[in-house]
Amino acid sequence: MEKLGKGLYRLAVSQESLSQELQDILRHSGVASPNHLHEARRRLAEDFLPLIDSLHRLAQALAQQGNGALAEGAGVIAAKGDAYLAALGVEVIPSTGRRFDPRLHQALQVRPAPPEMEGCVVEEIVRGYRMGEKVLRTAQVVVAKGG
Amino acid sequence: MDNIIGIDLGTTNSEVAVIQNGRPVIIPVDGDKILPSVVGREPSTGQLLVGKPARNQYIVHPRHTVRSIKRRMGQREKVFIGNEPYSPEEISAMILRRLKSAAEAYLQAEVKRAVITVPAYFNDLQRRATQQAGEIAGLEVVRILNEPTAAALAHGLTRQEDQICLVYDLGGGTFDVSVVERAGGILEVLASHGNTALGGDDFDQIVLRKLVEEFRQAHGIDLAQDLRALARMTFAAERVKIALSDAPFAQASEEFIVTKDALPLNLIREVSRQELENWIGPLVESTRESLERALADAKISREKIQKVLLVGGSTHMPLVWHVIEETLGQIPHAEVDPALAVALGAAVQAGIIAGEAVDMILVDVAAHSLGIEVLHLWEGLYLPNAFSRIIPRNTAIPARKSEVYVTSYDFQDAANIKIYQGEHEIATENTLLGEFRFEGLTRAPTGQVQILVSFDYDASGMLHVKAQERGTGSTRELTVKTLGTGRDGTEKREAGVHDTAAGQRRVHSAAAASPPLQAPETSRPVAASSQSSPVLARARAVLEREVGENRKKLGEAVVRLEQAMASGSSEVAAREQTVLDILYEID
Ligand SMILES: Nc1ncnc2c1ncn2[C@@H]1O[C@H](COP(=O)(O)OP(=O)(O)OP(=O)(O)O)[C@@H](O)[C@H]1O
Ligand SMILES: [Mg+2]
Repeated sequence: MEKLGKGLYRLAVSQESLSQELQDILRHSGVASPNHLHEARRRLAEDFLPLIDSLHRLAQALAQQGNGALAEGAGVIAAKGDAYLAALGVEVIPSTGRRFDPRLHQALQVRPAPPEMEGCVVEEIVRGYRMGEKVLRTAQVVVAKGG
Repeated sequence: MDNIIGIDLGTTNSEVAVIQNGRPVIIPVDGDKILPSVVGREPSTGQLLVGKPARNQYIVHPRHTVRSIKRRMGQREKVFIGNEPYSPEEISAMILRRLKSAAEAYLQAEVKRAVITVPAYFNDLQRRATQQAGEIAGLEVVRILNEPTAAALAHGLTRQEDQICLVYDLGGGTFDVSVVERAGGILEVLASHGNTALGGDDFDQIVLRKLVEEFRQAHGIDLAQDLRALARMTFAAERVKIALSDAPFAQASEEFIVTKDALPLNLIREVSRQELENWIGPLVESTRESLERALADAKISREKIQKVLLVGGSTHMPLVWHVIEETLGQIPHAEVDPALAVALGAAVQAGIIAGEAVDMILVDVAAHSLGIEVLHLWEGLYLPNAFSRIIPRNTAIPARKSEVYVTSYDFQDAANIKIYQGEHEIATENTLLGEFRFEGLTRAPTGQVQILVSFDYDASGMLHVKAQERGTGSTRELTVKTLGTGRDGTEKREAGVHDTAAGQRRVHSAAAASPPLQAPETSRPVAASSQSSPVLARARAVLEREVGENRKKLGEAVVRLEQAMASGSSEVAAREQTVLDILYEID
C-alpha cells in the first residue's frame, strides 16, 4: 500500500507540473499563431502520455490484486486521463486484432499463431497514439507469424 | 532560385538541410528532423517503405527490409528485398529520393542538385557508389563531401585561414576522429581513425544489462525474458544515460515492472554519473587511442590543433569531454547541435557552390567555464580553493547542469558557495561572480552530507545558482550576471550580483566565515591550464610516482606554492624555488 501511495504521489506531482505548463501555454496563446497552438497542444499531449500509461498500469495492477473498489477508482482516473487526451485531439491507435501496419505499429516480436491470425497484431506492449495524421507514438506490438 | 540541398546519408539516420535566408536549416521529413536509414517493402501490398515504417516492420519482415546499407556501399553483391535484387546504390537512392521529395515539399520547388557526405575513410569505389545513388534518385551530386569537413564548415571554418581542427564523432553506432586542415582556401582531411562498431547504443546496452542483472539478484526474476518489461527497461536505460549528461544522478523509475507471486514489483533505481562512467569507461577510454593515432598519422602534435569539434549525440557526455581534454589539452566546441552538424555543413557547402552568402550558424556558447570554489582532496593532500567546473566553456546555452559536493569537515553546518567564471584550476585566479552562504546543513561526519549545486545558464547571460541538500528539501538560490556570453568574445563588463532573495547582500559579509564544500573523492580535478607554472606541472608528474618521505616533502611544498599562487602572494618565487630544490634532489 505504501508503494501505491508513493506512486500516486509521484503522479500527482507530475500532473501539477504539466498543468503549470498548460497554463503557460494558454497565457502565451494570445500571441501564438494557430500553428503554434497546435504544436503546443501536441507537445503537451506527448508529455502526458507516460503519465497516462502509468495510470493504466496502476488500474491494472490493482485489478490483479483483486482490489475491487480501488481498482475501479484507478480505472476511473485513467479514463479521465484518456478523456483529457481526447479533448486535446489525441486518438488511441487500435492494434490488437488488427492487421499489422508499419505506419502505425512497431513490431517488437513475432509469435506463432493460427493461420487466420497471420500478419495480425496479437498483443499490444505499448499503446500508440496519433493526433490527426501525425503519429505521436507508434504502438509497440507482437505480431503473429508462422503457425 | 535553384536550390542545392545538403544531405547527411548516415548508417542509422539521415538528414537533409538547405540554406535559407543565409542560414542552414534542417528540413523536416514527416515532421521529424531525422529519417531512419531503413527501406523495405510491405510484402502484402508490395508498397515501398522508407524510414520509420520500414524500421517498424523489420522484426516481422526481415527479408523485406534493409538496414545499414551504408556499410555495403561500393560492394557488388546484390541486396534482396523479398525476391528482388537491388544494388546498394539503388537502396541508398530510395532514401535519397525520400529526402529529395521532403525538400521539394518544404521549398515548394523542384530540387535537382545535392551535396552528399561520406565518412573520411570511404574509398573511391564507395564514393562513386554514393554519387551514383544520388543520380539514380534524380539528383546531380555536385560534391561528395567528407563528414568531418562538413562538420568543420558548419562550425564556420570557411572564415579563418590556416586552421587545423579535430573532429570527434561519436554517434549511436559508429565512432571516428579526423584531423581537418584548411590551407590555401581548401579543406583537407589529413587523417582519420575510428571504430565502426562503437556508439551510444552500446552504452544503452550496458546500462540495461546492469539494471536487469541487479533486479535478477534482488528478486530472482530475469526482466530480459519479459518482453513488456524489456521494452520499458530499454527505453529507461537510454533516458537515464542521457539525463546523466547534465546531472550527477538520474532515476530509472518503472512502476509495476513485473508481477512476482501475484504481487507487483517496482524498479526504482538511482544511477549516479560515477556508476555510469565506471560501466562505460573502458569503451569511452578506447577512443583515446584513435585520437592519438589520428594525430600521429597526420604528423602533427596536439598543440597544433586549434579547435576540437564535436559531432554525434553521444558527445554530450561529460566523460567524452574529459577524455578529449585530457588527451588534447583543450575543451571541445559544441556550438552546432552535434547530431545535425554534418547535414548543416553539407548545406553550407551547397550554399557556397550556389554562390549564396552564408551566415554564421553558431549558437551562443558559454565563453568561459562556470563553477564554484571547493576543497579538493588530491593525492592525499588538501588543495584549498580549487575550481570545480559545472558548465564547461563552449557548452551551448541555454544550459542546465548540476554537480554533487560533500561537506568538508565533521558536523559542518554551513558552507560558503562562491561562484567563479574562468579556466584556472585555482578558483581565486578566476573572476568571482557572486557568493552566498548555505546554512542549516544536517550535522554529520565529513562527506556524509551531499549538496547538489545546479547551474542554470540562460541566453541573456544570467546564471541561476541553486544549492540543495540531498535528502532534505533545504535549498538556497542566487542569480548572478556573467561576463561576456557570446561567441564574439566581447566582454560585457557589467559585473554585479543580483540576489533573488532581498537583503541577501548583507549576508555576504558574514559569508567568509564558512568553509567551502568539498569535491567528492571520485571527482576529476580541472586539468592544469597553461597558465599554471611549468615547475608545478613537473612536480605533479613526479608526485605521481613518488612514495614515502619524498612524496610527503614534495607534496607539502606543492600545496604551499599553490596557495601562494592563488593568493598572488610575494612568496611565489621563493616557494617555487623550494619545489625546484626538492625536485632536483629526487627527480
Ligand atoms: N544528451 C545526451 N547524452 C548522451 N547521449 C546522448 C545524448 N543525446 C543523444 N545521445 C545519444 O546519441 C546517439 C545518437 O546520436 P546520433 O544521432 O549522432 O547518431 P547516428 O547519427 O544515428 O549514429 P551513427 O552516426 O553512429 O550512425 C544515441 O545513442 C543517443 O542515446
Ligand atoms: Mg551520424
